[in-house]
Amino acid sequence: MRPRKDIENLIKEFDIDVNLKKDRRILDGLREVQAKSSKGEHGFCGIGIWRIIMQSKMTRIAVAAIIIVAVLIIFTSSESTLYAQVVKAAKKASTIHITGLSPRDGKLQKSNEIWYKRGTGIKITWKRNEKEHLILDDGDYRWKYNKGSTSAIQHKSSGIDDLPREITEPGRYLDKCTRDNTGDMEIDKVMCKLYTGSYPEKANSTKLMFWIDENNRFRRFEEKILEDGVWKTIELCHVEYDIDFDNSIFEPDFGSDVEIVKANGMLDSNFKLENAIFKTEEMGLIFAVHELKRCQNGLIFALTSLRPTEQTRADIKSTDPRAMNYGDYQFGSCFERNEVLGTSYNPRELAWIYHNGLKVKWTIFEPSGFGNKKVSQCKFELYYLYANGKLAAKRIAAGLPDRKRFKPIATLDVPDAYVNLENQISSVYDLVKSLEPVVAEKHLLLKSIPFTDEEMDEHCKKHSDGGIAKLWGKNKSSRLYHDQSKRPSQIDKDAWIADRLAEIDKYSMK
Amino acid sequence: MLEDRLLILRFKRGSCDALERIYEKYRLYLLKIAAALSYDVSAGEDVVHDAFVRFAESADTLKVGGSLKAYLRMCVVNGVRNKIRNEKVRSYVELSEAGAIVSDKEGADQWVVLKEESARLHEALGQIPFEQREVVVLHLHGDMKFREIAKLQAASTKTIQSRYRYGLDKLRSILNSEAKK
Repeated sequence: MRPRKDIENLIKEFDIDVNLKKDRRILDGLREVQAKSSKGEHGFCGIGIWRIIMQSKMTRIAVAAIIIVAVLIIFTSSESTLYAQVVKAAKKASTIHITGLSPRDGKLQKSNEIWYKRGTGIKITWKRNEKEHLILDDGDYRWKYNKGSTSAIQHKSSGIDDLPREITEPGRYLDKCTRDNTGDMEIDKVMCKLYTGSYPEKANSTKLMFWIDENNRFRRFEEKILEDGVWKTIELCHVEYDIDFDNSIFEPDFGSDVEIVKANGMLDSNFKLENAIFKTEEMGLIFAVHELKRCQNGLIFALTSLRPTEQTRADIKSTDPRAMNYGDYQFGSCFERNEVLGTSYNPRELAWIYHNGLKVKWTIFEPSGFGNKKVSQCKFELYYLYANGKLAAKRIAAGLPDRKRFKPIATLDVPDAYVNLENQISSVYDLVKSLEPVVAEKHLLLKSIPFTDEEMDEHCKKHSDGGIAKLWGKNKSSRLYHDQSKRPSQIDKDAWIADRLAEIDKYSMK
Repeated sequence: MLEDRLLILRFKRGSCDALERIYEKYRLYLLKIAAALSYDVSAGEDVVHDAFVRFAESADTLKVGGSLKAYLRMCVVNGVRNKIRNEKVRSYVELSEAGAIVSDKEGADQWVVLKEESARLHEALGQIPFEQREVVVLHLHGDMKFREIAKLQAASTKTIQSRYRYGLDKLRSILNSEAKK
């Protein structure tokens, strides 16, 4: 038996790595959030610094040193950094064209391209997993199109006044780089200086190289990794400024057989409040039940949604459709106690989506305690209705609760006619899949499917010392599930439906 | 800590460098806590992501009286508790019947990558009651003293110490494959 100290040491060794690409994307997103919410005031604020200094005993003692450090920070924090100068120089350009290369089949091939024309538009193309993707933005609308698809999705533009992050992102690490004059070179007949650095966590195995010209324009970027003792280029970008390209490249011409679908239109038409069988307004949010259907074995299917009211949208602007600035909910049925047993319905979520303040859930309710009795009504409750993000902050600041329970929220009639459960689940898959181009990746979820026996055996062979292998050896029901955030197009439809039916069948309690 | 006080000052004035520095300084620490506390690593990722998004939006209203590290840690711990509380309204089955163990296989879009031995530990942590897990993780990874955790869990320090002992004992038996009756 391990001594307690050993267990403590073992727990202290619990460790993680981060996926660097995802890490960068998240940081980019945070910068955008900050930029959109910040009033962007710069400039010395003597009163604020003094209050902070005088609050703490330690800083009172060290007040002279703190003022010196604070002044140094103020004078070095804004426009004098190299990255700030590069961004400033880029903003002066009338056009920017970037070509990106990455290794494929043993050689560097074009993987992405960006066209930017100040005040006119942005066009970005990139390849991922052998598929070509395109984003176009003309300042009014933004279109996303995957080559080969029969539809292009149109969103409202988030603006083209700022340089897109795809242009500014590579330079983010510039301020952590050092000058390396051994790599200076001429690019497009202009002499450029080299700055080199690396990612903080991978200092010994990554190399970032930036070439900047005499006008502080970023001209070339190269990223290398160390593999088997050899430095290999994994990304190479070339940047051109003020070149001519026709405005027609920003026009949404995807081909005559490609339908342009309005993103908000798809969601509005599928989840109209006018057609809801129940709706109520609470905490600046509207909760609605759109569908209630009776399936075999006493199961009930429900489609519900939550969205901000018009007033809430007017008071709290949210430009990023992925940002959760309004609310969320947990919907279920009321537990009813009777003389012998309690009765309730256990919710089992099939899928959910979130886009621009609208949250939609598809749920199967499994009966418990009803026996063979056919119920004509179901009493529902909101276990939780809560505000999040900016709405939560606003309510808390106003002394209002940011979450409530509503028990019950509604007693609704269950239709007499039955619908086939398998067909109902299939229609959920199809609808969620049709929304896939419209909704951001993390905000569209189909409940995951489990590993097959073969996948479990393969996994346990690779990780034979792991606890999972031991559990699998004892109990074949303790299996892994695939990543829950897979999109419908990544999940086999028939397997997903079969898994949902098996799960409902296994855990249903009469 | 002086650096943190100055980072907060710069952040409140709109400095994205300050935000980046705060992110780089604390994200691993917060991800480790969230991953260890959550049944599901991706849920832990979401909690940390949400905490940073709210932080990034909060320059105008942010008030950090104590340490920045403790403030961010509290945001993450509260986020995990909220997630778990929301999950508790669903029906649970005994672990021996449960099929729902989230894959520790690295997905293309995963933020956190559990190291191999840590995956085993994570699974063991998921099998002890949440209150015990919270005490163990916050004490050993969150650098929190028992009296601070007692305040968080609204319990006495003695109760927290008991939860810590029971949690370690349970982990020891799980990891040694000893069944307790």
